[in-house]
Amino acid sequence: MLNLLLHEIRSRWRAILGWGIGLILFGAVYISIFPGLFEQLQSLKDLSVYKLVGMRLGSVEGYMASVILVYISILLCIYCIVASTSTLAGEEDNGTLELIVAMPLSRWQILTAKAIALSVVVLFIMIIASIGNALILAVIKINNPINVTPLGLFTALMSSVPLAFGFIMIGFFLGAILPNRRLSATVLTILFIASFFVENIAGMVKSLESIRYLSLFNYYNTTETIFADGTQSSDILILLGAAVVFFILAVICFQRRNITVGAWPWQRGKITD
Amino acid sequence: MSSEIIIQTNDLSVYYGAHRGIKDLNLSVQKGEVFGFLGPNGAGKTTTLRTILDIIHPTQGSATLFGLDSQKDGAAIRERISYLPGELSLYPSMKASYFLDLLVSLQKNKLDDSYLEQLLERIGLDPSRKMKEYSHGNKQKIGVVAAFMGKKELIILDEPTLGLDPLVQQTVLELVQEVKDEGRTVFLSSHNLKEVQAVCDRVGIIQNGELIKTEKVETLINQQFKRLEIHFRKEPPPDAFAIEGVKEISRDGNLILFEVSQDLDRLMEKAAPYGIKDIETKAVSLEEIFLAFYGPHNAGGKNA
Repeated sequence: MLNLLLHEIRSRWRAILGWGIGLILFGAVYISIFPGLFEQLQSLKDLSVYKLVGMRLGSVEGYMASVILVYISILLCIYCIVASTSTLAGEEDNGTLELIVAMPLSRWQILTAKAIALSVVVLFIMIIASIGNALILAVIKINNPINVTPLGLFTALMSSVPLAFGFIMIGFFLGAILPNRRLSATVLTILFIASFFVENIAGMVKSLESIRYLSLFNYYNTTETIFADGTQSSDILILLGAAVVFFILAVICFQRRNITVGAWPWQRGKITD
Repeated sequence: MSSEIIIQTNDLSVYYGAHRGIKDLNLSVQKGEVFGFLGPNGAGKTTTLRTILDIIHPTQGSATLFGLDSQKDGAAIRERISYLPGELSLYPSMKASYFLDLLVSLQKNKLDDSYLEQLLERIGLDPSRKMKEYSHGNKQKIGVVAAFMGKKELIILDEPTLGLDPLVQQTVLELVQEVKDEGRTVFLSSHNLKEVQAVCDRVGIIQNGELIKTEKVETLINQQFKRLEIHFRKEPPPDAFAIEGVKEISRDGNLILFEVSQDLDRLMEKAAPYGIKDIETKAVSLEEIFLAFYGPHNAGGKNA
């Protein structure tokens, strides 16, 4: 199992570098243009459209949190959607999973190795991205009064990792129950978009307050308070708990899955004549 | 060949929803034998192999390998097996050498490096390239090397020579023979009946998911039907041999070729009045037996 895990991590070193550097560049652009943009953005701070997409433009910290934290986490989750669904369902579609399943490994070992490997990859991506963004902030801070420390930005960015773990495990779960990768990725994308907008809309519409707890984004703090207060441990625990639950469900479904068949669960293994 | 049973299936059935995969399959493969598994496309050959390996779970029945349950003891069983899938899919960006190393690393058994080198040389494969750079035939060679390199007790091969040139096909058959000579077991699913006839001890014939015949290759060839060429002294009339179980295949004057699926008594009885100058028994290939099972002229064939 350890060898499969190491292989899975090794096979993604390009993704680690590519996404890590990409997220640094993304942050670099938005952090560096911010000082010149701040006054212009003040006039737009009350527009609902910005609130809808999670942007708070009233303060430097709000901008940093809503632009850097929200959009880097969105980009990271997009990677998680692609990678988690291609790892299990994608490999089944490509036929390579048949070779792995024919190896002397239990199904749970295969899934565990793949899930841990992808989680480690995401962790590495965020460590690179967070260090890079913190360094850029340190440089920008020299000439601009920004009340966010590089360490604060690093910690805040790293707090998106449990959110990413949640989407990774949902991706594995969907890959284990749905017939193919395309459907798994589509469903996970819909869940991701719904989760993002439910959290933001619920902040504006009181009647939707109760359903925001179903959104994983509800447990990821993207307000300016994160720089001062950090992330609540209860939120981290809820996200990690959701990840564990979906991982367990994925293992149960993967154990029962007929590999290479690509059928819905209720179409598998029934004698009808 | 030992009497120890390596593969045993008991009423093994797999259904995909309403679709039949295999039905009530009962077969056993003994240690040290090369067992050929024959059937047309969609008959259930690959489903059987995948079920034995626990890639697909049975709807009913069970399979045991080395006396262990295929579902409960899957990992332990697969430690003693290597498998070449019929539809071999490889990681395009991975080098063949890395792929082979990966497969070895996922198993407890150590690899005999010198045997691997020998295999690569015999098969004619340079493993230093990425999978996407190989032709179909070379990809199949990677699968063949992966199947044989571990020297496993049981090797399951699904169409192992598909896409290989005749020389490499011959090498694969030699490898199968060597496995047999070492007392290990091979389960070979193939459409290539000549290779099945060349290396298999017994064959199982599957049709519409049901095992319809399990027999020694030699017995199957000799028992299924005989082909006789009789040279008569005088030419029999066209309807002289309208007997059940006897079919005239060709006629050239006094020389008639018969296919006989029953005892020869009645044919000889009918032939005697025309004087028999010479009788020659013609060899029947496994391919012809196979066609007899599945061909449209076979009344019993479900494909008819």
